Amino acid sequence: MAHLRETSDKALKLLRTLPRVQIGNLRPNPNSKQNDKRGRAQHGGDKHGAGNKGSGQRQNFMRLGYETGNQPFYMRFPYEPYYKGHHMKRQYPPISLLQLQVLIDTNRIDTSQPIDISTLCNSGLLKLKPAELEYGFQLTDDGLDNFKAKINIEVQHASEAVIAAVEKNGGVIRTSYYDPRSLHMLANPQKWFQKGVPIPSRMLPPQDAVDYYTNPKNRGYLANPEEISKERLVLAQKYGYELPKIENDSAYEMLTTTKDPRQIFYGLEPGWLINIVDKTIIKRKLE
Amino acid sequence: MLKNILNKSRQVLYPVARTFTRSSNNHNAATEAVPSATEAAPPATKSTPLILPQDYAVNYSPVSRSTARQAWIENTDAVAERKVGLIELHPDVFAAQPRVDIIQENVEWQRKYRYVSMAHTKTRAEVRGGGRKPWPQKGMGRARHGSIRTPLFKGGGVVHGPRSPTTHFYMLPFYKRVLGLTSTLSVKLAQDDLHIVEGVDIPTGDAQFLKDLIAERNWGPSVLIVDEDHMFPANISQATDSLGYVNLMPSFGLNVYSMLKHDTLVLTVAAVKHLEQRLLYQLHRNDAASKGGKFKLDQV
Amino acid sequence: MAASTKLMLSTGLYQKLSQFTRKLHSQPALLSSFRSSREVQELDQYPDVEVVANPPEWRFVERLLPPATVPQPEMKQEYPSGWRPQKEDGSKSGYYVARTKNHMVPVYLHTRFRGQRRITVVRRVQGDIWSLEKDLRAVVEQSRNGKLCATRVNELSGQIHIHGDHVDILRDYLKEKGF
Repeated sequence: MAHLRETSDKALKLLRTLPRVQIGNLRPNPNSKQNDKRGRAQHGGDKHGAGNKGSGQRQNFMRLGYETGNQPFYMRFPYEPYYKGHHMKRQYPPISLLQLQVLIDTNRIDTSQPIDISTLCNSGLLKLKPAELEYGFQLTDDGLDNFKAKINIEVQHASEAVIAAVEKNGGVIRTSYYDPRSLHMLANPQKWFQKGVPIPSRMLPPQDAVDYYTNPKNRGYLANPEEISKERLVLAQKYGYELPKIENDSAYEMLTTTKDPRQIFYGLEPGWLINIVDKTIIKRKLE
Repeated sequence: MLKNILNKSRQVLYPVARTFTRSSNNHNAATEAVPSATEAAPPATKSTPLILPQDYAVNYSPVSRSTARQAWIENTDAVAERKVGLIELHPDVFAAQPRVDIIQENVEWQRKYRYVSMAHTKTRAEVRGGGRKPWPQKGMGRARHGSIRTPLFKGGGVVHGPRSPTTHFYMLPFYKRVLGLTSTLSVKLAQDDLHIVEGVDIPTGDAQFLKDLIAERNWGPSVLIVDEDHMFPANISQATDSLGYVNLMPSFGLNVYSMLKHDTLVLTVAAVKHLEQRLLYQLHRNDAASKGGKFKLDQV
Repeated sequence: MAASTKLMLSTGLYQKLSQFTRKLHSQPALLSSFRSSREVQELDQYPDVEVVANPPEWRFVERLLPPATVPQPEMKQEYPSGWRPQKEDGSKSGYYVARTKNHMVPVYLHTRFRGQRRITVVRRVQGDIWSLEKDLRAVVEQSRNGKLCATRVNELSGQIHIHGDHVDILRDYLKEKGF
């Protein structure tokens, strides 16, 4: 592999024959700096590169949607109920099954542990912004045919086909709601632990999300577990695959790990205080 | 077998030298000044050459190992040069693409980000006087004027002049700063302006010793000596105190401007290891995406 | 009573109130300050706690801490996503395309002029960049049924620019070659 790094090696070899690189003989790349002065008079004073008249000189770009005096289209109709409250609606940024499979293949996600928002954010490639009303991830069906991982995943929204794809491989999927404060914690748990505040309990979903998260068809975390296992069978029959038996699986314990509806982190209870410097947990004494 | 010895030499021999420095450091410099000169007998480990291979399993594997650089480790206990050992340098830090343009951007940034321009001019409102209409509007045969401090007047205010304080602060993108450091280190090594020494212990606090050493080894004239520890031993601190062109710096403070400001860069082995570890971490960190984006004044 | 409630619901006051509660909910830090927090009480006012060193639950905490550096991929039998680890070291072909820090093939699409100009960029090329350019051009031209394709090579920075969007083709080709 002697030829590799040829260019940098060549450049370094060239530098050996050149004078010492010093503050005095450095200069920026040619043409990388824009001159903020305009030329005057005979030498460059004519049109200064803006052309003759018109928008080239004046840069009079009209504001978006402006129709030179007409009532603009966006103001023509007084009421558009579709957009009512759009700035308040919950957002669920998508991640596809393909993305998830790539993360698993490149060892960014450990499938021997249950996957939740913090696992996805800790991969360093996905980001959740709860302050911009992002309430978690939705799993989309892109790359559905190539998805082969057996996982226990918790997302905030998933379609039927995605649920089928996960369960076909012997995995488990749950959809669950987190309030913004919990999402702040899950988006960067390390940073949150450094605050030194006891872990709060998770809020229950708002009224308009209750239906979704109590529905066993959506694998909601508030649904009846027995109904969920029934729906698993129903979905397997609908999509025509044999449902792998989790009970006989070697990873049974991992696959059946769930959070309490009021719990934010796996295995850590509300009210505990995590000290990551001393590696201690401060718990309330039981009376 | 050989590898074992090498590893041992790295892990065991070197800390011995370090603790030796620290102990001499803690004493009062004034009382210890004379004995330390005589005390600085070479440690028992000096006879064994210090060979420090790069452990790519622990460190980050480079794009190509064939470009790894090797450098001599020199002594500092005498003026005469003696090669104490050999160190293998990580190619991603010491043989990186020499981006001279990024080095220039770093230098410009280091000059500008702390510069506050104090140039100041007064507007027509700030110049003293000029509240009265100098002469009537009509009938004088003179041009109409409302104030003697308008920009048209000599001694009047200045339009769009410099106003102080004007800050020139900006932040260079994070990875340009990292690349600036690797590029400068690579350039310095390629131009034989980088020397590696076993430590910063010199036998005497006399500046003449350092002058002789620099002349003998063809360093300099200006030399930047970098160690991992920010507490330098008494002798070298005393010796460099009167020499304006020989400076000491801990490795956490190493920057592009200072490296270029000095002709020769002298790193201790500990500083090399520290720099490699920090720079390679930055080049491979998991949350690199969070280092992008606009710099916010209140960011942590 | 009911009428007054109805009135309240229909007014803007209610809307403002709901917006405020929503804000309180989504950005709790916005409205909190040290003044609104509770003052420090006597110690006996607080519940008894125990500090558990080496707790068995620590593994759950460790799981939540991100890795410091990008993890190395593991060797597996198959990679269903189509991603493959790098096999080739370039000794056969004379050139080498290094993977990115995230172990991906460095082929990108640059769009300019509002998507009017699309340029495929192959980065991190080392070694004989000209012969790689020849190979890549052959692949692109084959996919375009023999139509010629403009390329540009920057030897110093190790980049090849190819006119048009050929990201998928070139990425697959490089992966197939083991890069």
